[in-house]
Amino acid sequence: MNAALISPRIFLSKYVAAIALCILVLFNVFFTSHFASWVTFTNLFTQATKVALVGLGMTFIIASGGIDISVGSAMGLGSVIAAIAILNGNLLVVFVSIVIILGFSVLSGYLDSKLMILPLVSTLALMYIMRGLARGISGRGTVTYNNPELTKFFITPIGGVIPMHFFVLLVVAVVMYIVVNKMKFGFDLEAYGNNRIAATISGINTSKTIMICYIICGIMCWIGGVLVMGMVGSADPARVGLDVEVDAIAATVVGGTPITGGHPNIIGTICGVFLLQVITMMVNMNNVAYAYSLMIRQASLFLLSFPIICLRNRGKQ
Amino acid sequence: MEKTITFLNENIALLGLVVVLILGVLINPLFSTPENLSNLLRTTSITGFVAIGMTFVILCGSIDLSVSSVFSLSGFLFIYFSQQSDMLAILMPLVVGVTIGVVNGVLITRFAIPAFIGTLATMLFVRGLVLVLTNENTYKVKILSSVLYYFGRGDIVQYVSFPLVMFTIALLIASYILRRRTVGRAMYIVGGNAEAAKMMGVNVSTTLIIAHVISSFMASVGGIVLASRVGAAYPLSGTGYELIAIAAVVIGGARLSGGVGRISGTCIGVLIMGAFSNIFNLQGFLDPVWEFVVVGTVLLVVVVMQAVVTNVGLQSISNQKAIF
Amino acid sequence: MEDYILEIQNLTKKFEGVTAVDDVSFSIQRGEIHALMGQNGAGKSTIIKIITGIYRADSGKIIYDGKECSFHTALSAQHAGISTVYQELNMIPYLTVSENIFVGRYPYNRTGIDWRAMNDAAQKLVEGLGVDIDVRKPLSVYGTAKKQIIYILRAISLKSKLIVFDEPTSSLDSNEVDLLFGIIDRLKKDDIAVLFITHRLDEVYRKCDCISILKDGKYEGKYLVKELSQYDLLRKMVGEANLNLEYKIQRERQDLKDQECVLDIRNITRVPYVRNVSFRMYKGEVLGLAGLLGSGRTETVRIIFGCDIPDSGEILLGGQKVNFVSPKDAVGEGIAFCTENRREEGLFPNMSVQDNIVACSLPKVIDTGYINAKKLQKISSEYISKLSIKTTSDQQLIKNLSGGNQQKVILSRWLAMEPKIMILDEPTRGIDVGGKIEIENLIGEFSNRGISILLISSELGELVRNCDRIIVLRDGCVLGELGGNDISERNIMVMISQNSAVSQN
Repeated sequence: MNAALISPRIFLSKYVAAIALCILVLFNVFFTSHFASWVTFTNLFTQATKVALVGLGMTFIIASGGIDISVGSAMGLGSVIAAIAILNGNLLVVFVSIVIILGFSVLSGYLDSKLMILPLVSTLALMYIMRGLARGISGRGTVTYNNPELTKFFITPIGGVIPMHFFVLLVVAVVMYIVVNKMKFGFDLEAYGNNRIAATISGINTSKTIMICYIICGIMCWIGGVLVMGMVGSADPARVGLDVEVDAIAATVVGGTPITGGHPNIIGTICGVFLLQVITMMVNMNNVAYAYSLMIRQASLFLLSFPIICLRNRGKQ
Repeated sequence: MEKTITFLNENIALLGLVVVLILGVLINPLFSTPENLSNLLRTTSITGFVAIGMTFVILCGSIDLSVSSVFSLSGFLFIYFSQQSDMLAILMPLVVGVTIGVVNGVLITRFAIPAFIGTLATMLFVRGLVLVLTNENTYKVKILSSVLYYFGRGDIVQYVSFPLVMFTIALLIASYILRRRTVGRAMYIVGGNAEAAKMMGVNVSTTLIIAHVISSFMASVGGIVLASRVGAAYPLSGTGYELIAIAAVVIGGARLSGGVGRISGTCIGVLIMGAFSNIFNLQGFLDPVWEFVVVGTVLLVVVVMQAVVTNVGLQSISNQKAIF
Repeated sequence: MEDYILEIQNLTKKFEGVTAVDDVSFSIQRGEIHALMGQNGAGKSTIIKIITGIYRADSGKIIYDGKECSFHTALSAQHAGISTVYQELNMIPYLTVSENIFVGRYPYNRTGIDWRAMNDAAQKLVEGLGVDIDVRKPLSVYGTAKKQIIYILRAISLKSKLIVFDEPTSSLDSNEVDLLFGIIDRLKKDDIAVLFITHRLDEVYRKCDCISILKDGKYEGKYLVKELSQYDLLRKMVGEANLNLEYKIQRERQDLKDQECVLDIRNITRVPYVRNVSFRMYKGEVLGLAGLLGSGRTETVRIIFGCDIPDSGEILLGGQKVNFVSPKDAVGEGIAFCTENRREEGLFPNMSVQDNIVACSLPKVIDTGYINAKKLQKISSEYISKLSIKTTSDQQLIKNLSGGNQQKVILSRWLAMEPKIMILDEPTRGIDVGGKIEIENLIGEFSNRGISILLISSELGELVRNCDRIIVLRDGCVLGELGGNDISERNIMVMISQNSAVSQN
């Protein structure tokens, strides 16, 4: 697990996200006006947090050699159901939303581990199913509730300083790091991502491992969706989580988790998320039109991930 | 037992189509009117083009998620160039489509990027491009020449639309290529066993690139026909078409891992998807938003059934080892 | 003047400092059935890959059919007339037999590919060899033997004059081997030369005209089969040093039948690999499974370990009936299985040596839910030194180790688990003599501790040196058992060879 010290190529693909992030931040501090300000950083964190949570979930799934493109829809569905529950005045019913999201996660996990269906296709189908459900059950559109105390809960910084969502991300990240590097599950996952057959022969419970990955991912999506909803007091079924899967995948790949399966790089994914966010902000703050910025952002996401994939592939030959 | 499974496998799509058609008639009597059927077929032809292209890609064992964006970009280019010349209006989208197909193919072969990431990237980039070009609004022009209108709106004879005829021709050509030309057989070979393909002298990279070019090209054709029919270019047109195309191909009996599949199957799959959409529009129970839920569920069910049948099928052939 | 179809002159090939092939020269006559033999790592597969165009030699000449050649790709070798039949058959399962034969050379008529002409041509080829194959059926309906024959048909249609066979009989039963050999006879009649890579001595003596022996990359010599005895053959392949192992290690054989019966296999059947196999294993004994390649040894142990499910029969562990549906069940009961196929089934390539060693021992190093890194380190260091594993550090990625050291790491993984029963399938494959001695010592040590070991090896000497009892298998059936003083290489071979054509169930 500490093999990065062995070869420069592996070192690069593991830490490139962190390095690029530092370089870019420094660049912007010097060259973009107003970059080095508190407002900028809070903006940065707010946007990045929801992607980071989903990205962490995606990291597990990609580490197992699969993919899940329904994460954005899961966020949307989770937030919509939670919003409807709050609207009807029953906070406890909010937990229905996590149950339903987990139900979909378990389904995805089952399809991948037991039926061995290509995760790309099953999650593609689920993506449409969940997004459609979100839009269908929300009726006309955005679900808005009026609960000032709840909204205050989400907006108030912890200890007056750390924004709530960032605190959640921090806690989650620490937990994930420990799970990956210090617990048997993390080991089993990495082994499975390396060589499925060998993992099975070594006695690892592979279906359980995969199932846990999908469940973790589902929980992350739910937390992300609920955070988004909590901070604005509403859930737009068409927009919550839209395109978040792209950012999550790119961040995971840029962060150094092998696309074909292997070691889940928690820190790498988080660096990747912030890196992409910095790029977006860089483009926005330099007054580039939105549509162009979208294109540039998408392009840079993949311009960053492709070399990583190529580096790893060449390492194999 | 094996015979029953093979029979089911080969004919389940057809049975499904019959079921859907009956459903249509039951839900709304308007379904079986010639006007509706003609319209249905016109619309289905458009998604059908995309599905035909997707068949080639899936046969090779690859996938193309960029078709929806290529579709929408082509629509835009068609409308844009319609102001300059009819020829350009048709040519430019097709050329751009081919180029994107080459890009996809090269990403997958030369750079060894997994197909779903490569085509996902292309899809997003092109989608962004379309948003930029259309300024996020519907792009309209005053009038198109009558020739260009014909592509989407024309009828060869009453009730037989031009798109339907084009689709039928495309089906025949695709079927011919896959069955009677080496380049088509290469798709099956590469999808069946890429390692063996190499050893037998089949150029795997070229075959993959050709498949992706065909896929993007067909997506362009679809985009042109839709833009012609509507007379404008929506920036988000084509959304979800990759799902419909994949669903159609899979329902038609193709294996996602490649090497198995037929154009006739895709045709049935496309008809099923088209009939579904039509039935949805005709019924009043559910909001149209639920259409994708149903489509997604159908795809899921079909893929699960395929997996279950394959596993059962594998175990009934006695010289296979059991899967863990 | 001899008529050679292939002449190799002074071929040399180096890989990163290791000389795989060292100045090798030999020749094959037209229509000759020529065996290429040598230990693992002697250079056989490298030479084959050079001949068939997958590798380029660093120096030397290849003269095929009188012309000097240099093959840049596998395809060019095929077009020239050299085809190779591999174990992993390189054909497309979903396509028909005739299409597989004619891929890349479809016959065309005016409208496109002429399927009828293709099927007719394929059928003619099939009849030419006298086999029962329907060319219109998909390839997947046929078993390995017929698939190999179909590949031969392809080679014949490509006008091959030399066909190379890479361990062709390893997954065939005796009927299929007869079928294949019948085909090879016809090839000989048509003046097509055959180069046979095999470990199976009896086949070499049954079919081949001559043998070329490779040892450590060097060409040892070419001999006519009728002039070389099996003992001399072995001696030339393996050399004096190894044969001395016979005398260095002599573990005392024990009769442990009065001990607790740890494993009781009853009437296990899995058609067509395993037929009605029954035996018992006692605590602390080393039980060997002997048999030729394809006798069902690996298939039997896979059933014991839960990788495959038998058609019928039962397994009792310590007296209790068990029903394993996956390896984790077996591991949970204290059974270890070191497979013969480390690359596909053993290595975690991008993980460290340490991680690879401890993969099955994690429950031992977990305190209150967390992995204890120190305990992990201790276990991996212990085995790195016990088996003399050569690695720069325990954090080195296992994929960077040599094959032999990788094998030692995988072995350590199972040893570290301290199981009750250990199944070892070709544990010393690819390991040098020193390593073999270490492993054999460990086997002895473990059995003294009460661990029961089931040993599969194609090296009869290894079985003789280490086992208390040996069960002999052939074609999936148990022929008998050897114990005590009855154990010897000769007796094993006698038992196998005397029981030909075991009844087909």
